[in-house]
Amino acid sequence: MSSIPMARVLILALTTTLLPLPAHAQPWREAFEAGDYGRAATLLQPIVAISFAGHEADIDPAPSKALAMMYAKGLGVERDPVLACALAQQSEMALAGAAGSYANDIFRYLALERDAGAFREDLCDGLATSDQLAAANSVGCYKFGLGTQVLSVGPHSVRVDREGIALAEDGAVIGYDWECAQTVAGLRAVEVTPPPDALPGIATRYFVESVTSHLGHRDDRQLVHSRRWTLLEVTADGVGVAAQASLQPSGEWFDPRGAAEPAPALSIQMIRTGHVRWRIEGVPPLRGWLMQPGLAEGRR
Amino acid sequence: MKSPLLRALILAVAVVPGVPQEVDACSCVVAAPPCAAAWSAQAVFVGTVRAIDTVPYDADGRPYESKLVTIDVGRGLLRTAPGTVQVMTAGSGASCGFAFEVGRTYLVYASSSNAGAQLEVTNCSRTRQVETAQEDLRYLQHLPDPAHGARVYGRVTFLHRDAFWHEPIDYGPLSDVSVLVRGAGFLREAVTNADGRFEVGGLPIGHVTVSVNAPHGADPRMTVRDLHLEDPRGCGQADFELYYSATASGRLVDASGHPAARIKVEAVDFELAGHGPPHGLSAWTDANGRFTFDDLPPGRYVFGIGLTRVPYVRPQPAQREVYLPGTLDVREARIVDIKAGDELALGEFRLPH
Repeated sequence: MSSIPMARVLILALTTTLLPLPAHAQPWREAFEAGDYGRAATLLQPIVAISFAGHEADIDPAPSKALAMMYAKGLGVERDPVLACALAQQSEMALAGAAGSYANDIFRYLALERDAGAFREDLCDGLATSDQLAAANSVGCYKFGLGTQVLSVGPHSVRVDREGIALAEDGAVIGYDWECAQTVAGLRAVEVTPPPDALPGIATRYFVESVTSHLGHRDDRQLVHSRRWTLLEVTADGVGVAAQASLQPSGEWFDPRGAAEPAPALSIQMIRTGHVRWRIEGVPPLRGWLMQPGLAEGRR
Repeated sequence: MKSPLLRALILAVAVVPGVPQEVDACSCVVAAPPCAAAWSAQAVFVGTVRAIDTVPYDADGRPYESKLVTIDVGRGLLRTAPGTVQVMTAGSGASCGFAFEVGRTYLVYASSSNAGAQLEVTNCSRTRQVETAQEDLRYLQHLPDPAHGARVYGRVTFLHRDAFWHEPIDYGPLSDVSVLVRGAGFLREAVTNADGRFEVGGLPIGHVTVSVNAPHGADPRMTVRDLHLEDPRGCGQADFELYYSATASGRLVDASGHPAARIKVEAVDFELAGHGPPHGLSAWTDANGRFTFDDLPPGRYVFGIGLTRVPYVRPQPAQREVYLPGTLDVREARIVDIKAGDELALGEFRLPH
């Protein structure tokens, strides 16, 4: 397959194995067929995310299959075989979810099912077992655009990847697991130093601040993209959630190919006992306290 | 209206250390130090449990499942001679019973029953396995010279409180704070050190009042403690957790001007008004519509009715927020700036039609 020109492969795949085109226009398909893969990826990512979390009526295996192929070949996106495998699994699941619409054409469905299984095997079977596991864990929680990086947080090195955020030193994946983020809109290290009147033994505290995009339901059950602010404390013992809040109003889909979002207006100070007060400007502002590690919340 | 903090502190002040209260579940205050617990106990000894029998009565003979514990006293430390003693304890930990085990050796602080005829032990006392009683044994085996008199010691710390946050925050020790110890015919002063600690020695036995010269605006109810010094070799511990407080009061009337009785008035951080915060302070109106917030952390507040929301619970359609001085529009709500020590009169709060 790799000897066939890529565009032909993709067009062939899309025209022979996917569901019939819907009557209304699909901009992602137009971009894809025009070879504008970057734009196609930008359009496909929110569709795929919504599709996974959506209602049965929204199920369409085509977007996730197209995006899987793009991640498999690095078309318009950075090549990511694990993500490609995850998307292929979603495409296969979506087809199964749409089986009812083939009640009058069972042979067509069986052919599509066979193709979807083969497609998934193509993209997944060659992966190492750990990557297959990572792909399975990623289905529906894609962290689009998130590459692997090591972040310096004071004296600590923190590994950031698809699995989560954890200390790099021990290599173990313990810490924050992204909680089914769809995209990571921002990430930075934060150091909070003791005030001049700090008590003896009170030291700088280290955090990683992240803003992630998640899917959620509004009260009327409509799917929305929500922004989640998370402050993770980094200590020699690991990385743990210190504070978390939903940012208002709910945002649009964050395009990981676009510019980074401005960080929330966070102010954060330590008091003399090591407890930390934080505040994010807004209406209303979000506020809270982070207790000194090892102490119970509030009084001690 | 009393905040959970205030209730907890009042409870801590009101109860005698080491003595369980009559509550459904056992709830102990922090145990007194050895130098205080030793002299409030009826007997203190080291002994090994020989037998435990379940009996259908308590130390005062009332019907209640209890344990009768037979202990071979190896070392009588205070008011106990070597031999065999029997102590009673409640049948379960939930009833403050101490979980003695046959064959184990304990340092026992036993009190006398109400009738005085029976020793009893609770899990609120300093009773513990002897292996973990080093601090107690150090004191009990090297009792101070009674000629030096009793002592009072403690620590003064400060709690920071915010209008928006539900828990007080430990702000650390207060240094250079004057602490007065008063008793029959004497007055002694100490000043807290950098760690907030103070100590006054050479005191006669009897009742003493320990008071802190607190910063302006600190809740005065948290600045005084009463202690009883039982023995010239003993001590009393008085820790103070101070915090700023203020009061605000007003009167709620309905649209016709009649008192609105038994209505919950709330105070929320001004920036959260209109956003249904989960936390707020509250006071109930009396028959005359009067309400008093007697423990407000300093801050900027909006007062009103129906201002807080239970998280994840959608408010009832009929539920509406009413803001002081009597408006449904949060933009017209009066923002009240409350400083430590204030005793504010909010005036009349009229409910709209």
